[in-house]
Amino acid sequence: MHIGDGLIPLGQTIIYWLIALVFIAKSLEWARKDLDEMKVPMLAALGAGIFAIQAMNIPIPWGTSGHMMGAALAAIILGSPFAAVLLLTLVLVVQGVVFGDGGITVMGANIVNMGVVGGFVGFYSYNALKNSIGMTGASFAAGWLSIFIASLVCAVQLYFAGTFPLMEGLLFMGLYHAVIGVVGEGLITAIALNRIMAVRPDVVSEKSVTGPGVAA
Amino acid sequence: MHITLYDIERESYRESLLHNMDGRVKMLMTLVVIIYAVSLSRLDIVTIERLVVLWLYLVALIIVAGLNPVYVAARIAIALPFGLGVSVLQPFIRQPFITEFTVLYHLPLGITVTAEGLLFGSVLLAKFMVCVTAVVLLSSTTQMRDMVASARRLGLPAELTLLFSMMVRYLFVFWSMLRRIRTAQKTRCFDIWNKQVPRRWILEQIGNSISSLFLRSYEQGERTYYAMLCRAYSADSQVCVGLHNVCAKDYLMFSTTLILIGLVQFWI
Repeated sequence: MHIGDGLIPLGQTIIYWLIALVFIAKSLEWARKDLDEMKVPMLAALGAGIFAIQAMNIPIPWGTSGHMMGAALAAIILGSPFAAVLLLTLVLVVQGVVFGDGGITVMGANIVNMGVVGGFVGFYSYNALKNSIGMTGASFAAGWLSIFIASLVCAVQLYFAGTFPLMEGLLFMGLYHAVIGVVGEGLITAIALNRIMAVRPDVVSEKSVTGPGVAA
Repeated sequence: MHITLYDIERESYRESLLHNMDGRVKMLMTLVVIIYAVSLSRLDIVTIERLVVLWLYLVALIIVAGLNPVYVAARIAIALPFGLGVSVLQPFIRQPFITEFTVLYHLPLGITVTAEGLLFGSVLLAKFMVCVTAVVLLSSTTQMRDMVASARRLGLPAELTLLFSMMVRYLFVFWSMLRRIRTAQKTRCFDIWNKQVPRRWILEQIGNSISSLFLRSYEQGERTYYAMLCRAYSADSQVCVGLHNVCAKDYLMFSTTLILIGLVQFWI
């Protein structure tokens, strides 16, 4: 889902950068308020951790392997969608500048897709569902929705860029990510959250630990 | 060839004219090349000619930097799939911003190949190649900590500089951890494609590894925080990036790039 340079016209990339910068500023504000001075080492280490997590191969349907995005997991555990925005921004900058995975001019668009949309959809869908279907089901749905909706937004961005027709883009991107998202994001988010709850429940934000699914 | 974080950092430790340049100048050069490439017209054959010249200039810089050609090719190949996929599909689809199409070939199932789509796809791929090559050149000739320090000197806020400078250090810690996890899994004959064990069990193992990585990074953050407190760290602490002067050869390289872009724009 990492859009590369050249796929979105320069004028539109500036708009996405502006949107991303607003959310990055808000996420720094969240970090100052919620994490205080502990934020820097914590977020730096978590950013590096998410970077490594994204490099782990996950077997997905169609005989290929995929990678986790991690936005929903980060937002649920740290109890804020802004945590996902900040962590994904750190990861996407390193991926774009060091690996060339996702471009420089389009980095704003990628941050909007994976950090903002992924984080907000993941966090709010989890919170909407956790009391009714429990933490496991809610984290599965949150992980799946975060990557599925982010892929649809990516398709819309490519449509506005003139790079891909809307219906075909929504169909290809949506269908592909709907399928790989079941395993690559949904299941893995649910398993990882369960494991973390079992080992270090204190790490998971109190906001995310309510409802009938709480096992800790 | 499989490229890891270590390979990229190892290349950046070489000695050459480009490796020794000021990080700020290299970052600005990369930015100028990318912005110019992206800003070019998307439906003009001349754009491809301009991008080819720009790409050859980047290849010349890669040769000057003494980078391993196999390594460079592998780096570009790794970054290519999404851009290549989108570009290759262009001749077969109707771009929303193009009003008239010239059909070149009729294929079965009503699929057509259009001249405009072919040109657009070629331009996209050329832009993508130039931008990826520019990033590969930058990251292969600049150490990560220099990139962070250069970004700070160019105006990156102190808070983000501190975050990136620490994250860059931990990237290697967690990359190494990931490698150890993979080695440990291999010694237990763990294979994500093993058909003899239930798929569910494989996914559980991956989920466990991911939760382990997450917790280890969280706990690393806690440990580092207490260690930093012992060294008088506070919320107002900043990264010391040191002083570095831009010298004549930096100006020369930057001017050469700007002049080349000017020539490409007005002579082609």
